Amino acid sequence: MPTFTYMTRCDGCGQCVDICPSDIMHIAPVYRRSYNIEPNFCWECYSCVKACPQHAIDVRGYADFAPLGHSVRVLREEASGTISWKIRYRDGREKAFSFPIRTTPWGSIKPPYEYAAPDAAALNSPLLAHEPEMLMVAALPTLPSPLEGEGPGERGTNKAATP
Amino acid sequence: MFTANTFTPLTDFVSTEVLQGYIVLMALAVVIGTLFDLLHDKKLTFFLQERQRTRAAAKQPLSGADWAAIATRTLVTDIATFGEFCNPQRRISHVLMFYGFVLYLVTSVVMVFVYPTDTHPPLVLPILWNIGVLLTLVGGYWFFFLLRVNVTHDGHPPWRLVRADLFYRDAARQRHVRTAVRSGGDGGQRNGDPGMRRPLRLLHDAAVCFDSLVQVCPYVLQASGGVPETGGGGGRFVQPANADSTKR
Amino acid sequence: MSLFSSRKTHVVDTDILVIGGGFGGCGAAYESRFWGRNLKVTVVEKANIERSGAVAHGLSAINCYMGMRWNENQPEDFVRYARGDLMGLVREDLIYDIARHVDGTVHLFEEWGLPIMTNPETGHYLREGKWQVMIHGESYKPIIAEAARKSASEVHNRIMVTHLLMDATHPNRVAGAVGFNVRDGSFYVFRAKAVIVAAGGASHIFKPRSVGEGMGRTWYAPWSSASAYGLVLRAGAQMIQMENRIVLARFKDGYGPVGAWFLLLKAMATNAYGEHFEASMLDEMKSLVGKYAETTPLPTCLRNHAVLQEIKAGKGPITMQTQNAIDTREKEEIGWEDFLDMTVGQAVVWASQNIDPKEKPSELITSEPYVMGSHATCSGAWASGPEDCAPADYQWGYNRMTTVEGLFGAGDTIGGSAHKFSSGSFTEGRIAGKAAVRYVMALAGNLPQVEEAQINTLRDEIFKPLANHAIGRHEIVAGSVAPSYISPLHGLQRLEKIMDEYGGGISTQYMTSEPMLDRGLELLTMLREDLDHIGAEDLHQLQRTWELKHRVWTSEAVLRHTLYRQETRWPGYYYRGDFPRLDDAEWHAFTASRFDAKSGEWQMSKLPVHHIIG
Repeated sequence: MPTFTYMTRCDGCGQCVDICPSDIMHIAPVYRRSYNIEPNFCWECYSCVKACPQHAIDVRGYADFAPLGHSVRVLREEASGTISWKIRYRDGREKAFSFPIRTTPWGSIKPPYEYAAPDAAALNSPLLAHEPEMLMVAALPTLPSPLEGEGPGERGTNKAATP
Repeated sequence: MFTANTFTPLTDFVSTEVLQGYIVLMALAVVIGTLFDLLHDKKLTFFLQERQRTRAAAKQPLSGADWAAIATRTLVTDIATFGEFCNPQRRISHVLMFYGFVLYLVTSVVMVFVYPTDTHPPLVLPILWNIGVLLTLVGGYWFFFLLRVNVTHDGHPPWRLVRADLFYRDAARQRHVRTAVRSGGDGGQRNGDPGMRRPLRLLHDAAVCFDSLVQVCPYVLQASGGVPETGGGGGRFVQPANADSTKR
Repeated sequence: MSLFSSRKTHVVDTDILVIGGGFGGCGAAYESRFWGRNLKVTVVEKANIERSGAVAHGLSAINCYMGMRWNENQPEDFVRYARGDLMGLVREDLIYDIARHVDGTVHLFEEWGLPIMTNPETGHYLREGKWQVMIHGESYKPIIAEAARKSASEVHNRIMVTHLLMDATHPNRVAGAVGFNVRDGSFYVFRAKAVIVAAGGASHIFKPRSVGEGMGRTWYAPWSSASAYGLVLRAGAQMIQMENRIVLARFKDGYGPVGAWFLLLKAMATNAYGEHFEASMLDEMKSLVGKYAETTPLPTCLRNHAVLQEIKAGKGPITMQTQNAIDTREKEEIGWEDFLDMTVGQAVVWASQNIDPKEKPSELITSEPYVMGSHATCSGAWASGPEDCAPADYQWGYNRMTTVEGLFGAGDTIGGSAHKFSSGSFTEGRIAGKAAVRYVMALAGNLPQVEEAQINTLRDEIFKPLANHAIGRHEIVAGSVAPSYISPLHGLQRLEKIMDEYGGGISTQYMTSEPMLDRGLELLTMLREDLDHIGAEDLHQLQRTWELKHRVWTSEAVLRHTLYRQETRWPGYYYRGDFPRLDDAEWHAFTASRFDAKSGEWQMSKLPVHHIIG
C-alpha cells in the first residue's frame, strides 16, 4: 500500500524524509512538500505515516490488488505509549483498535556503560552482559564436554547420534 | 534615507499615472491569474467536490457556533500566525516574511497612490515600508539559507534552486533593487530595471498569497461540511444502510 | 576529479565498525559498549536506525524465547526443533549459543519497555507457540534503536556501505569499509580494527508475485538488499547454504503473518472444498525425503510443499478459516493486532476487499523465494562458533568471526544459525559485539592498514553510475531507453526474471535443474558484466544501484550453491528436477563457497554437519 501525502495537510517539515527506511519520501520541487517517489519500493511500514506531525500521510492500497475506497489510519502517541488504528472498509464498515507500544518513558533506557564494568574473568567467559542474572536462571547453560555421543578428545568429529 | 518616499525617484522616468496604472494592472493580473489557476486547473472544482464529500460524510452536524469557532481558529492560528508549521523556526520565518510583505505592500500602495510626488510623506509610511522590507529580508534569507526542507532534510546543496524557490529569489532581489534605487537618490545605482522585475515579483507575491488561500479553502470548506478529519475514500462509495460498525 | 567535482571525503577512524543498524547491529552496539567501555563503536546505517531493517513496522511476536526461568524449554530442545525444520542441516553450536542467551535479551527488552503479553492464568509471557511469545511490538525497533544510540560512540544514518576494505599488510584481514552519504553524495571511508556486518538478507532477487506498485509488498523488507552477503563474500569470506532459500506460506498479496492465527488462535487451512490436506500427503512426502517427513512439527518447507501440491492439483485457492478462530472480541483484537503491529498492508487488503476475518476466510499463498539467515532458513557466512561448546573444526578464532580475520557477522549475515528472528538476531549481535571487543583488545599495535590506491579505486567505482547516466544520456533525446546504460530498476527486473525462470522461482513452481541453472548462470554473468553500465540519475538511484550489485553478487552465490547441492533437501523451498529426492548419504553436509575477487573464481566444497545435540 503505497503512501501519499495530502496537499492541504503537509507543511513540508521533512520528518518523513528522515524516517523512511526505503528512502522514498522526498520533497517535491514545486510545492516543497513531501511525496512518495517510488511506490513500488514502499513496504507500507507506516513509519512516515506515524512520524508525520500533521497526519498528512496516508496509504492507498497497492493498485495491483487493493480495490479503492478503504482507509487504514493510525495515531501513534508516544507520550501515552499507545497506538490507535481506524480501519474503514470499502463497504463502509469500520473497526477501531488501540494497543500499548511501550511500558517505560521514552529516553529511559539505561546505557550499558552505566553498569559496573565487567572484570577480565567475565570478559573471557561465554557470559554476555548482565548474565547470568538477566537469564533468570542460576547459570548460563553450556554443553558437557565431551559432547553427547563423542568419546573424550573427539570434539569435532561427527560421531554423535543420528539427527 | 529611511524617511523618504522610495517611489518619488521613479517619477523622474515615468509619470505618476503610469506607476499607478501599473499597480492596478498587476492587481488585475493577480486576480485573473488566480481565477485562471482555479478554473483551468480545476482546483475550484476539486474544492467544491471536497466540500460536498465531507458534508456527506459528516458524522455530526456543525452548529453555527462550531463553524465560526473553526473558521476563527483557522484564521488566527493557521493563517495569521502560520500555525500549520510544526517547526517553530520555519513558523517564525514565515510570519516575518508575511507581515513584512503585507507592510511593504500596503505602504507601497499608499505612497504610490496618495503621495506619489511627495518626497517626505507622513513619517510612518516610509518607516513602516522599511520595516516591512527588513522583516521580509530577514525572514526570507533565514528561510532560504537555513530552513528550506529540501536543503536541511533532502540533501540539496543550498545553491540548488527548484521551482518552489522562484518566489524567494525574486522577492529578495526585488528588495535589493528597491533599496539600491532609494539609496541612489537621484539615480546613482541601478541594479536592473525595477519596472521589469515588478510584474514578475507581484505575480509571485500573488502566488504566495493565493497559495495560502488555496490551503485555507479546504479547511474552511471542510469545516462547513463537517468535522475536518473523516478518513479517506469511504464517503465516495455507497454506504449500506446497515453497515456494521464495530467500534471500541 | 573534474572541473566541477567537489565531492567531499570523510574519513572515520574507529575501533569497531557495525555495518547495519537493524536488530543485529543494535545488539552488537549495545554489547560492544558494555565490554569495551573505552572503545569507539561506530554504527553505520543506510537508512535511519529509528525504523531501519526488517522490523520497521514492528512485530507482534518474539519467535525465539526459551522461557528457561519457568522451565518451559531448554536450549537443546530448540536446537532439535531448528534442526528438524531445516531437514537436519544447521550449525547446532551456533543455534545452541543463541538459545542459551536469548532469554536474557528478551528480559532486557522488557526492562527497556517492550510490552510483552502475559498469560493471565500463569503470569508467564503469553505463548503464541512453543518458542514464541506475543508482544505489543509496534515500537519494537524504536525501543531497540534508543538502546543502540546510547551505546554507540556515533551513529551514521543515511550512509550506504558498498564495499569492505581489506588490510594491506595482512592477507585476508578486514580493515574497514567505504560507502557514500545518500543525502549529500559525500564519500565515506571507515577505518576499523574490527568490522561487524549486520546488514540485511536478500529480498527482491526472485521475481515477486506482484509486479506493479505491489512489488513493494514483499514478505521480507524491500530494503533487505543482500548487503549482508554482497559485502562479505566479495571480501573472500566463505559462505554456506546459499541455496537454502526460504519460501513462506502467508496471507495472499498482503503477506500478513500466519503464526498467531495457526498457533494461538488455532485457525485451520483448507483447500477450496473445505478439506484438510496436509495429512493425506504424508506418504508422498516420505517418498521424497524419507524419515524427515515424520519430523514434528512438520518442517516449514514440507508445509509449503503440501500447499503447492494441492494448488497444482487444482484444489486451490487455499484459505485459512479465520472465521472459525475468532469468536470473541479478545481474539479478534489479537488477530488484527497481529497484522497492525507488523504488516499493516494485510489490514489494508482486508479493508479494501471487504474481508472481515470474523465472517470470511482469507486466501493463503506461497511467496516468492528469499535468501536470508535469520528465519526458517540459514544462508550466510561460515562463522567460528562459541569457544566452550563448538566442535574443534567449527572454531578458528573469535565467536561469529567469519573466515576473514576481524570480520564478524550477526543476523542474516551468519549461515547455519536458523530460527533466530528478532531476539536471536539481536542476541547474535551481542555475541559478535563481545567477541569483536576481545579481538580488538588482543590486537594491540598490530593494526590493519588501508592503501590509498584501494580507496581511490573504490571511490571511482562507487560514483561511476552517476557519470554513466550524466554522460550517456546525451546520446538520446529523452526517456529511459538508452543504448549505453540501464537504470537500477531495469537491472533488478532482469535479475528477478533470471532467478525466477532458471533459479526456481514462482513461475516454475520452485523447480530448477542443472541445465536451467547453467543457463541462469550464463544470463546472470552477462547481467553482472552489465553492472558496470548502470546509470543512476541521482543519489537515491545510486543507492538502488549498489543494492542491485549486492543482490546480483549474492544471486550468483545462490545459483552456484543450488547447482552444487545435487539433491532436493527442502521440497517446498525448491526442487531439483534432476535430483528429486533427499540424499543423506551424499549431501548431509553444508555447501560452501569462496569467491576470489582477484581471479573472479568460485571454489565450491562441502563442510561437515556435526550433531552435538542428540
